[in-house]
Amino acid sequence: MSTEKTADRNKDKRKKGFISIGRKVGVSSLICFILLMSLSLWLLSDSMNKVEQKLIENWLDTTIYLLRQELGESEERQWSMHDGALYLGDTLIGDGTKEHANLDAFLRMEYATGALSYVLMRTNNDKELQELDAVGNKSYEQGHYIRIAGTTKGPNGERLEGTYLDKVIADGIEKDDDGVFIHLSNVYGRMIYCRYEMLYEKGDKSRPIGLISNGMSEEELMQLVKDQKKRGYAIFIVFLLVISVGLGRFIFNILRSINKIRDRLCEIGTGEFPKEPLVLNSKDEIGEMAESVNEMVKSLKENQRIVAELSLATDIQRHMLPSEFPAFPEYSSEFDIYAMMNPAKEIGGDFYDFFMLDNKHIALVIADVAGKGVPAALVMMIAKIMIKNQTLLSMQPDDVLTIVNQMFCEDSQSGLFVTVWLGIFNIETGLLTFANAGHNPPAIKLSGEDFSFLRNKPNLVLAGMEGTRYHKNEIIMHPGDRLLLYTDGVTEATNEVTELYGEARLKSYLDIHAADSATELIHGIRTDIDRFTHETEQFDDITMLVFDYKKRLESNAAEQKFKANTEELPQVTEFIESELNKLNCPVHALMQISVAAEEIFVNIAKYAYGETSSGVAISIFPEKEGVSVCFKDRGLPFDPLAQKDPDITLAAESRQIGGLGIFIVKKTMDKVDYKYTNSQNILTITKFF
Amino acid sequence: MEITKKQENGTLEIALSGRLDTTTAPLLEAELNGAYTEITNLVIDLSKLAYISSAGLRILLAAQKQMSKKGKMVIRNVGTNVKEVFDITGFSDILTIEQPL
Repeated sequence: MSTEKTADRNKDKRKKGFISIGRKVGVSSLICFILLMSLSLWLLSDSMNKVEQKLIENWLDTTIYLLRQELGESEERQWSMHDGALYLGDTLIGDGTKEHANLDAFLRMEYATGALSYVLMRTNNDKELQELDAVGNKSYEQGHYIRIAGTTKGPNGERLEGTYLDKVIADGIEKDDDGVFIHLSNVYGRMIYCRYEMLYEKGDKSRPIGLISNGMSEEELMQLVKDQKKRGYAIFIVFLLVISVGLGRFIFNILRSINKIRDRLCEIGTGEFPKEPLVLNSKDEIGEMAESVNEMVKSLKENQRIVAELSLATDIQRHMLPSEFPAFPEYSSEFDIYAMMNPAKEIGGDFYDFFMLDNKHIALVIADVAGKGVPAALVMMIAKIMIKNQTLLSMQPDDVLTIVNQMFCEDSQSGLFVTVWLGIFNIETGLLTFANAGHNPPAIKLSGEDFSFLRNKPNLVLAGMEGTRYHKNEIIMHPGDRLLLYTDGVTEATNEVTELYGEARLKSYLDIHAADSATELIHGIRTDIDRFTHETEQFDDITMLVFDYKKRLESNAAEQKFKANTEELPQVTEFIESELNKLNCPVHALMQISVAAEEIFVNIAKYAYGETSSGVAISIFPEKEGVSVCFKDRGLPFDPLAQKDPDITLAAESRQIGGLGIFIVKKTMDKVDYKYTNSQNILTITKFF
Repeated sequence: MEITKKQENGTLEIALSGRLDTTTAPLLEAELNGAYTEITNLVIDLSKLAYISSAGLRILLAAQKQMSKKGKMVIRNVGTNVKEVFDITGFSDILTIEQPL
């Protein structure tokens, strides 16, 4: 998805009343700018008016200073007056005569600054004044000043020379302490600003000898001031503009960066991670923010990868547990098996397993790894594989657990331990061999009784202690018996008042629902637990496995059919003896079984079928430290065990021969069992070695 | 089963070896039935008999009954397996068994 589209979508998603920071900053900046501008201009114009006079003074001051420089005034060259003439150092500035007026410096100044300037000499010479009066048009008084050099223009632009100073002005200057006087005077109809500075004899302030003055028409000065003001405003506005543009660019850049980050975050929000990192060329907080976003994307990607891998791991784990039911369709008449695991978190530490070891042994496993999540799941996988491998190798549950424990103790640093219940069931004989490494006692239903728990003392958990020896237990299951393996997630499921589901509830459920199929039973228990825990969160994996033993496996190798005829006896004997030899039956027991088998076979041959002759099926299967031989015939229902035993205390003459055969069977065999089912007489004899 | 017999002066000595079961019992029965009229003393050596079932017991019981009427019958050298069957069935009490010391 492109960034533009994301941005568009985010625009669509915006709430009513959204105002962008850009707009806020823009509007507020504009208001600030206008206010600031007005204020500045007002202040500027006010101060400009205030400085106007000062500007004029400064300008005049500056030009007089320049003039003095131009004239060459210095420490060595000071003003002096002698012989009615004014000197600067040795240079004659003027004596009131046109011939001696030294004009060059004044002209240069006028040319450079446009200011008119001149020097006046203090004089008492009436003659000169009268002469001057003839030229000028003003009266004069003694003790005042006569212009001796400089430039002054008349109304028509003519250069005036030899003018004298107005008494009022002269008095004003002399009275002024500073020796400086500014005066606006009407000169030939023009208003002229003049500045006068007193000249003293060689710097001696008690001896005034003249005046130096300059002036400029008010009009020209105002023009100058106006120009100056214009420059001031221009500089100010340029300054403001530069600042505004700079500030604007700065704000715009920030906003653009923020928008980029915003768009990037929105994009991330949709779950799409951009391939390229966000690059902002700013080394400030915003740059850091962009870096953080990039870091965030990185770690989110990492998280996403972990989540994806975790779900893959969950899949792998789920597929590691056999989950196709019926698991062994070829054994559907012998047994049924069903199991489920509900992990509390995404990935659990519980597992169950079942697998055929050969064509008559099935291994049943249930286990619980301490802890939850990934570490538990890893240990679980290792445990599952090791247990299966070892079980396939040794077929003895105690050996398997002993070896797997050893391997765990050698390799495991995790400190996670595993509780395991491992059973190996012989489908032919119903013999269940099992070992328990600290696991919950399975529930078992035997011979039509209620459920009970297989409380054989368990050994230590797997990976608990190196060198632990696990013990083997044995129990015989008969067709119709049922075994439930489960983890503590079942019995320790807790409701809102922290009661445990417990073994009692489990047993009660199992007993009430004894008629349910394995699948129904497991789902039923799960539902019952949910009903019990109500809305309390499941905190442990819940795992169960039900094994229903339905029918003994009738192995071809140990079953043979015979005609129910005594002539078949040698074949029967040979079959039984060879099978018993295969089972390493002791010689004595072999002889006893052989006799018993003969008695039973002959009994069936003689009585079961009357005139019609039919077959007898004999099967032999090993028992725990023993053997059973089963005879099946479809003859008349006849329970030989119900016959009265012969009286063996009678003397030879009184003895009856009948019933002796079955009597021998009863006496020599450890167990004799008769059943009539499916129109079959089934007689099973068992002999323990 | 193999039957070895030796008859002299009204004494019949029979040695059985192998199995005395439903299949073989009729052979022994036929052998004895042919001899009852001529003998007063019957000795049956079971030292080589490995096996006996109720069919064999029936013959021995019948023989015991016959011989009780006109003489005597002795069983010799009973092996462990056979002795066990005799014990279980009470035959040890009704048969005259001579065992080697």
